[in-house]
Amino acid sequence: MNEPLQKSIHKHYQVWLSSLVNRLGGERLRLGLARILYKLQIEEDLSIPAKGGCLVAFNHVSDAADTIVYLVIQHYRPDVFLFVWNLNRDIISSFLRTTGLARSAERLILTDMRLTQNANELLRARQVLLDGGCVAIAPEGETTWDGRLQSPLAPGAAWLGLHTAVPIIPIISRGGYDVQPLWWREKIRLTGRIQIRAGQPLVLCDHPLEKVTEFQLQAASQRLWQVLSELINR
Amino acid sequence: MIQDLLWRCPLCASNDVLKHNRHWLYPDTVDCTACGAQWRVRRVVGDNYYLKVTHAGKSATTVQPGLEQSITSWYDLMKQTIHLVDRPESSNLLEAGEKLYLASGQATLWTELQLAIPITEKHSPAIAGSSPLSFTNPSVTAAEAGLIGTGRLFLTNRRMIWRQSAKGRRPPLPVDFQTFTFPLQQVNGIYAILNLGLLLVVGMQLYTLRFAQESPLKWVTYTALLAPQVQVESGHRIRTSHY
Repeated sequence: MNEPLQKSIHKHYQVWLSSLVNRLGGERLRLGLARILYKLQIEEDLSIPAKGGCLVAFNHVSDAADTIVYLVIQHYRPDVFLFVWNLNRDIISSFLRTTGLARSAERLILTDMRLTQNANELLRARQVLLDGGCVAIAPEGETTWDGRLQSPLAPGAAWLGLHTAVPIIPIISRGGYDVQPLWWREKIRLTGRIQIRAGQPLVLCDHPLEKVTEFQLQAASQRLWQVLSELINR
Repeated sequence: MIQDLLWRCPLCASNDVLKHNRHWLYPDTVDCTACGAQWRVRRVVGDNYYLKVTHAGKSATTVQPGLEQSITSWYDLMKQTIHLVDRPESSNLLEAGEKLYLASGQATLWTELQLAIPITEKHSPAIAGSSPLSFTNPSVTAAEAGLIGTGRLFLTNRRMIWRQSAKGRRPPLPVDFQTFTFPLQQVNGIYAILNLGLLLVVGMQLYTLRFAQESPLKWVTYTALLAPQVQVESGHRIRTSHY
């Protein structure tokens, strides 16, 4: 079978499957499937505040694992916004279908690879946090190629943390790499073992900072990386 | 597939020679077409993929059959073999003193539908030749406005160059538009779009390259190795994906 035909069949199958899941049970069914297929374990002390501004930072392992993490965050905070690179329209719409978010695309904060173009979206995320909302972000910026936490982190999470002083909830997933590694992204394994755990909230400063220096950004990013890294290796 | 990560043989250090063979009834294998090495692939659920050497081929002096490591360790080993080495180029592509590091196979070049700096075909070829930002292909229809054409990509110590090849499903571009030159001092970022292709941020313009065979990670890696050199020479910083 040639590749374009295979991709087209895969896409239609994905659309059909996600609409079926939406009709049958939506988020609850998705998490249930994750528990059955991937033996999903969520640590009991996963504490995402139900109210108030918070930034959830999670590691970027694979589409499948990240989607499950996002569903878990959404379970605790239905008002969560997702901070994501605007890479490709097909990829974004595929993600929206998988997570059942297709009707709430306004909850995406789409950022651009032209870094200077991101001011509006960064300010929008900052306002969401200052208004007591929740923003989920993968501070590595891109999915890992080799399964490890990438360094240095992209500056977005630290920038938001310093400009809002909201707690950053570090969340990591383990075991998602072999389900769908980036180098074999086309194939999602239907078995696996995924664990999700959260660390203690990290507050980068006592009050929102008006101006942030490059040094402060780097130091805050490094601190966040350290927290995520310790959580993965715990 | 595995060759998207291991785009170079970690044993014989040849580029684009690994081939991932899928099997339904027994474990997948990876072959090196240059040194003849072969690995067996094993997935450990909840952990990683492991590659075990089953034949060492011509690399028998460096590795023994039976060695098994995670794909992450093989990747680390592969990265240790990467150096910027200039390769011979017989065409008239290079300027004096310019070194060629990479040349791709077939690669399609795309640009944004909405150009940051809209230029029409009325602009003179001289302007189009001077800057990649000022390009438009008169033969492009509205429906496929993003696609520029099929060609090859080259990386030198000064530039990235995309040159249209005669093959491809598009009609040849006018002579003035057959080569795109991206001076590294104007390239702000080079990112892998997942495993699908390469994103170039040139000034404020985005370009996408999709390779028929190669891994975008290879291009990210070479550019990341070159970036410090560009920064020392010109003070310009090129951001890249992690590799």
